[in-house]
Amino acid sequence: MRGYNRLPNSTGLFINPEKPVNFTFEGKTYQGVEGDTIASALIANDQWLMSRSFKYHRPRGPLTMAGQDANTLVQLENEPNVLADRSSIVNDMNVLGQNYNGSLEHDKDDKLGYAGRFMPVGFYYRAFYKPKGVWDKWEPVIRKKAGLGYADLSFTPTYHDKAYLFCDLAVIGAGPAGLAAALKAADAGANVLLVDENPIIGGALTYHRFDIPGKKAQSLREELTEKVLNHANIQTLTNATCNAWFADNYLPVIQGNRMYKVRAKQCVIASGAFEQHVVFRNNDVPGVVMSSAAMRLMSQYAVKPGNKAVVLTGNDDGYYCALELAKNGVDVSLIIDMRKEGASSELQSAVASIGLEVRLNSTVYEALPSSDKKHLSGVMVHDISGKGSVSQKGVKVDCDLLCMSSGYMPVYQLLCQAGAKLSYNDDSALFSLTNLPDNCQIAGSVNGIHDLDAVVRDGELAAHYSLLSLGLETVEPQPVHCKVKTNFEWPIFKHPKGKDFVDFDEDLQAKDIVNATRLGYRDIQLVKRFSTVGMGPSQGRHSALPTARLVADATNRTVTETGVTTARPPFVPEKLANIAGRIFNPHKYTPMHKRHLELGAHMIPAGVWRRPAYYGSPAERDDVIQRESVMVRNAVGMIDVSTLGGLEVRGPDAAEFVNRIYTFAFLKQPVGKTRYAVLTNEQGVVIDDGVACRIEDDHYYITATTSGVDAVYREMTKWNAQWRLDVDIANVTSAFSAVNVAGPLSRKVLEKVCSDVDLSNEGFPYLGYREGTIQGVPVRLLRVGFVGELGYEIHMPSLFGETLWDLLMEAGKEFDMKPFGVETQRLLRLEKGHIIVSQDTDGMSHPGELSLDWAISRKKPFFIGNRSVDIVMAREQTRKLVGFKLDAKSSRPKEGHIVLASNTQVDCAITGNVTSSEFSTTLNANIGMAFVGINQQEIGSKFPIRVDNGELVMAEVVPLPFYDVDNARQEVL
Amino acid sequence: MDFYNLSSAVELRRSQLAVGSPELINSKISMHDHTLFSRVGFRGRGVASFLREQGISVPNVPNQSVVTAAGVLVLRLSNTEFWLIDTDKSQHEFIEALELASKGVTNVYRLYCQHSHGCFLVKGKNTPNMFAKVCGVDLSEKVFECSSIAQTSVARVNAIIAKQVILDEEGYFVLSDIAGSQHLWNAISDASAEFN
Repeated sequence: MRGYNRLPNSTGLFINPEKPVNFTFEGKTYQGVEGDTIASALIANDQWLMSRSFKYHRPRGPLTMAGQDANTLVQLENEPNVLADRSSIVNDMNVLGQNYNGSLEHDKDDKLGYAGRFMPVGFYYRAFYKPKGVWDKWEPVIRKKAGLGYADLSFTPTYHDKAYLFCDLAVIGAGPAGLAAALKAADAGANVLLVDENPIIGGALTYHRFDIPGKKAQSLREELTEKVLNHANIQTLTNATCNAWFADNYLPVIQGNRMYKVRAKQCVIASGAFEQHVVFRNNDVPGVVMSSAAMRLMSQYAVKPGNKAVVLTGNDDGYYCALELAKNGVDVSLIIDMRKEGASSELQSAVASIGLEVRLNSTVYEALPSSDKKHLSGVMVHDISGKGSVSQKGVKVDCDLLCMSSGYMPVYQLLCQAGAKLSYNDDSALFSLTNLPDNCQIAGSVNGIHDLDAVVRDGELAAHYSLLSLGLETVEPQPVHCKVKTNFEWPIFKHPKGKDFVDFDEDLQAKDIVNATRLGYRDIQLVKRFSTVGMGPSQGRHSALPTARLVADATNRTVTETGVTTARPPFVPEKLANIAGRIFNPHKYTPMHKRHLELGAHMIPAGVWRRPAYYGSPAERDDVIQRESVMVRNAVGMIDVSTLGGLEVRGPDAAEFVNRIYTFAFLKQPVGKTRYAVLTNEQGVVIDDGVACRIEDDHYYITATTSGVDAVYREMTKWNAQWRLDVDIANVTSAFSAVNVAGPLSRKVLEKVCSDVDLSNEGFPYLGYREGTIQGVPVRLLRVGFVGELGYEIHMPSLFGETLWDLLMEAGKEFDMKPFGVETQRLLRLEKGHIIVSQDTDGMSHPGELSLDWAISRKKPFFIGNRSVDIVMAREQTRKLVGFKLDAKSSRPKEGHIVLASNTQVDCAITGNVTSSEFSTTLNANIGMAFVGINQQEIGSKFPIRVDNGELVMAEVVPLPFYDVDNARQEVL
Repeated sequence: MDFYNLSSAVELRRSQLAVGSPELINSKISMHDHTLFSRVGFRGRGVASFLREQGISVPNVPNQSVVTAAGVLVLRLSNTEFWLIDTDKSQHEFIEALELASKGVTNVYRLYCQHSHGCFLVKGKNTPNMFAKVCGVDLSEKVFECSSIAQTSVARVNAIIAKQVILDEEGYFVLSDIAGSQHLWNAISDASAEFN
């Protein structure tokens, strides 16, 4: 066995003693075994000091050995704040302590403890706010001291993901109650998911002693475990934490690097109970532990927790702990029972039979640290003289281990998130949880049941109610009663010298809580916020109950009246990586994507699509764009426009439908013709545009903007849900790919591949629509002029996209045709004065200010937004979209740059903004479009634009289009 | 205008996937790209009777599928929407004939699923566990029975998942936007990796 504190006659349920593991802690090499946590391996090597406390830098060691306290927070190479009693060791792991100045063993800041009187509760709220500005001086100092561990910013992210899990019943906690519940439900046919945070199932059965002979837990664990693990209807997740309860039993369960999103029809929460500490001076010295921690060390890790022990208890469990310690060779000097009457006669006899001394109605009033303060050396034992008070004189008992057991607090967090009400019985000092939702049951010690047989029956009872809700056959078990009293009423013994910790995370002493109430913070929530009690890493697992007791006592109320603080998700700290999981970033490629990459395209996102911006290096962006634009203007180029939205409207009412949707008139649109289609919303704002092709009387094919098509499709289906027109509406965006072959030579390119369409200017005029084939592939041809040249949009079914791209590129070789990108297209259409909806428009743009009056039919009775369009266009106008021009040598405005009302008045109004801007080789000028004030729209006038570095440039308003005013270019014969 | 035949030029179809080995992910889960296999969809009030007139059995309720004796998978996606998928690349002529037969039939609107959707066939014992990593619908053996269809989201994209027995082997057909098929392929491949 690795480590000299290993028990010779125990193997430890969690470990494999045959497999040694070497790791370092604070630079020193230690050896543990497989399955050891950092803490168990260190204690096996007699290294108890693992951290320094947050405020006073006091030496701290494990308290619970179950990850329920902040005493074991350590630093790994690339991860801070790792719980040493939850994290397993692996070979070559390097572990460091945290929150010290110098070294863990010799922390220069441990002297802060002497300055405790100057740092009373809430001192930072009251100390650093005056004189004015003093906080700025204090903040760097405090920030340097605050926080635990360090983040490795060069850390390479690891793979995390998520998965759904579905079940009839989720059982949270695989202790005796959870196991019994899972088995009963699974036997009845339910599909059960069993979740437990430990490496093996069994819960308290893996460490707790439930009877004098010490046999019951092991036999029951073996029996239940075998049944559960071999049951076809039970899926078990170990090392898994259910970190919250959300509505309808939506349970996030974290196991390693995966977060399971559990969807359970029913849920049984058998989360157990947190053992509670006793408040006395120096109750944080390493070597002072919960009884359950000592038993975990022995049973789970085969570690001997000490040589000479004292047990301080307020219930029978302390006696069981003493028996277990003695069995494992620990010299138990004394059992200190805070109760007057002590344990049952059987237990009294059992401990007496092995020579253990019991002292009733007594307590530890002070723990005595060793000379170096890093471990327990003894305790001062006093008689209890009253509630929280002790006799003047005490006796010193030497020991290196003190096991505390003052009672239990239910692990209520998930249940309270489910809506349960936590109540406290001031007479019995016990909690109860009521008011659970119908789909959530409670079982075991979290339900206040501690007798082992009753715990098992309680699990079965919870399963019974779950089965009823699931509609599965079940027989109701006997009602469960438990008379075991576990909680000592007042395990708080304030010491005049303090350091009697209520909250170990924040170094909060009993007087801190009381003083908070004296400062007027009577409400438990206010005490929490003022003192920070319960706000540390352990989130009140041990401080909530003593705080409630102290506040109740100080304010002359009961704990029931005081209540406890809220427990919000997550139950344990969870990494952002767990929440993020494996992030899915859907993106779309056109069928020609591979070709674009082969051609050296610089790809940019366009919504979810990837599109070629231009074909060349980003370093040569401007030159490439100008080259591509010149090619289109003088010869021919081809652009992939597959991302254009595509919608089909078919049916007897197709024309009526399109006529109602878009602003133009479509009823009399001839078959074989296209028409510009502008869509306004009910507020009269232009939200999309495209081209409507009439294929048949009852069939339209309509394009839409890349980013807008899904919204247009939703609008169409929404409106027809009201109109009930006889049409079928289909979003065919991905079904069709498209290219635009544009330039004076475009017809010649097309003629080489498409022989069944008359491509002459007469046979296929501007704004015409034709269907034909290219090598047998059916294509839709639109004679368009978006870039201001003779051009054809060729729409083809997507599976042919790459094939036709290749055919057209081959056909264009003769004319030196090359592809051009979307940024070049933006320049070309800008020269032509065509707007791009959402780039040259915003959420307020109505047709009037975009000069789209011509695209609105005033003769038809209705289109979406017609009333609003009339209203907004009749109002006094404030702005107008205009074309502007600047000298080629002028600073070029960027999209978004603001337009000012004046170039001389410093605080003048902002009247608009630039929407498009680019340099045009064709025009040898900087050109663009911008919203300007309504008084700035006059052709020939100039308006100021504030460009980079605050420079003002004066742009001239020019008529649109900039290029080919007579539209002669698109009529090339 | 002439009927625009989406089933034509079958030999010129090209998949958009750029994967090294498109047929197999690992020994436990296989995924096959069926995007180029023929399929056709119809929507409208007259579709169910149209298909029956063509001798095709259709599922009685939405989100169910049947397989014809010839191996054509018939999906009923709603009361009025049906897709027919060639599962072994042998039924192209049948699909094309069906598409052409729909021309002019009242209340039968041809859909473009041949070109709008990619189609993968995913098989293997761990497939439901793999889907649990990318899909929020319970596709486990007991819950998602054979012939079931889920119209859902997979790796954040809309998808249709149809479970059916093809050639005595259970498989899941995944149909999703063809433009996002590379993303979906990668996501499923990634989710499958742990089951090797």
